[in-house]
Amino acid sequence: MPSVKSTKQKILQAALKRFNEGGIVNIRLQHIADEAFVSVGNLAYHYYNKAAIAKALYEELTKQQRSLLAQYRIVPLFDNIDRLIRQTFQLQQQYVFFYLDTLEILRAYPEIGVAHRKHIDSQIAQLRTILDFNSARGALVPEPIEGAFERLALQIWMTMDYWLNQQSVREEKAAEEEAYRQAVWSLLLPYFTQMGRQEYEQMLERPYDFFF
Amino acid sequence: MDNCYLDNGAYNELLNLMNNQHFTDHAGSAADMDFLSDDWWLRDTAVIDNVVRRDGMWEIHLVFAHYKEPRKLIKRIISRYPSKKKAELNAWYMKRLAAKDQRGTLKVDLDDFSLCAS
Amino acid sequence: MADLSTKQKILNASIRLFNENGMANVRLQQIANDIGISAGNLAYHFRNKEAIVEAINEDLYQETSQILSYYRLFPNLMDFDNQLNQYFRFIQKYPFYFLDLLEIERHYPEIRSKRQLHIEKMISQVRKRFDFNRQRGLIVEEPRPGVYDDVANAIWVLITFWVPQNQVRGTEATLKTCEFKEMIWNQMFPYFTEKGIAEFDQLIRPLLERHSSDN
Repeated sequence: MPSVKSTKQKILQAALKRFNEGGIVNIRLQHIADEAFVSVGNLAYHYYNKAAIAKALYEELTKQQRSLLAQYRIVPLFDNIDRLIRQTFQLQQQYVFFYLDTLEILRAYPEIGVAHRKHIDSQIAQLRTILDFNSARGALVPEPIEGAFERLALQIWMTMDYWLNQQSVREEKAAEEEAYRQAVWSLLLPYFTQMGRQEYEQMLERPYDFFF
Repeated sequence: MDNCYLDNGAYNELLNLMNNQHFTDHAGSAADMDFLSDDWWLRDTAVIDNVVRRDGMWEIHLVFAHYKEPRKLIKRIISRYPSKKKAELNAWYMKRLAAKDQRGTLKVDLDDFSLCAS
Repeated sequence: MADLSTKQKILNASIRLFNENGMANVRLQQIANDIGISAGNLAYHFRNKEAIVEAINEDLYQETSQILSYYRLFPNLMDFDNQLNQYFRFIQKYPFYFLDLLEIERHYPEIRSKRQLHIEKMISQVRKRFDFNRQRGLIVEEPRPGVYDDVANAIWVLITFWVPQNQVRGTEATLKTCEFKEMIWNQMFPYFTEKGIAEFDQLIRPLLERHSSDN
């Protein structure tokens, strides 16, 4: 007799798998039940409808994102930023369906839409803090023109969040973490000070152990 | 439209050429831009544009010719372009600009000059 | 307006409904209702939704070709600013083209393949603008190989996902030319030399300020 928690977990995992493969619009509860080896009745007992599943998955995703950002809130050195970039990439690979179908999901589930807007605002604000911190410690130059860092934070967020969309529009199916990293770092590159450049070179020369 | 598709390499080369044009277009030499001291007769000149090829470039020459007096004329090299079409177009504009008489009624007519054929 | 052909009216209404509701959610009947003709009359002009989409796709392709021809018309930074205005006008006219990416990928492969023809050209152009302005002494040498390719790509991302990201974030910036252009100039700005900054201040900044007072 499996515990309630593990059945819930199993359903979410099955849903995630099917959503990623077929897109959320095309998947019905029956598909998810089949994938999780439970009856539709049993599934409905845990999750009333697809909206409930979508919401649970969304909460799971944002919980993980928040914990990623929280880890680096205190001292976001370049190494930490790099790790954040990589882990964000990994997370996106797990939740492909959400990134590719964002608008459709927000249209269909307004509740998620409201939460997501707040979430994005806080993500951009966090990025902004990271930029300010690094500028204050002398790794990045001060803002060259007013509003530059605000726009930069928005651009970094966009580059990260629309990565999968970009790949799909350009028909580049290969999920390359290196390209992703480079795309984000290249946005910061022109703002490096001498010290920032050194730190960046060092990081490229002697990469830390990612899985440590 | 569809059947003349440029591949990416060719397109990049095209953009390079367009960029380079900006740097290869030249104005004429300083001497050609000098003011003339005794220039009253220029009011009665017709302007003739002439595009000639020299050193791999298309040069615009403007000839200011007095409409009665065949010996009064000056030739100025205005600018040079790598593209013939562009040179011709610019020559036409410059001729319009340089002509004192915008309607172009001042014409140099060969019959006005009693030139000796032999 | 009176002399617009019925065909053109149908296309205009379709574009508007696509923009408002998403391509997937628009039915032929809705389009007919919108311009006050019968479904039969509409079917006389366009057999089905695919035929309408095909006609719109032709316009999309022509208009993007047109935008790409805005290259080296001005000998200075105005050239790019001018082209950005064209891009902005385009994304305002056809938001669905950028919002319905998945729908297009799944059901309208011909839109997708025509888009493909232009993506690399868009990016190449921006990249060559960097070369051109470096030769003019407005932009510094590429700090490390490949950086300007990345920036060109980042600018393409900004143009392509401008509408979706604003919609997701629920901001009104979709309507504002100045914010769009400022975001893009912000990409080039850190690479300007002193001469570049001077030209930017002289030619471009007044335009951005004028736009922001317009809005």
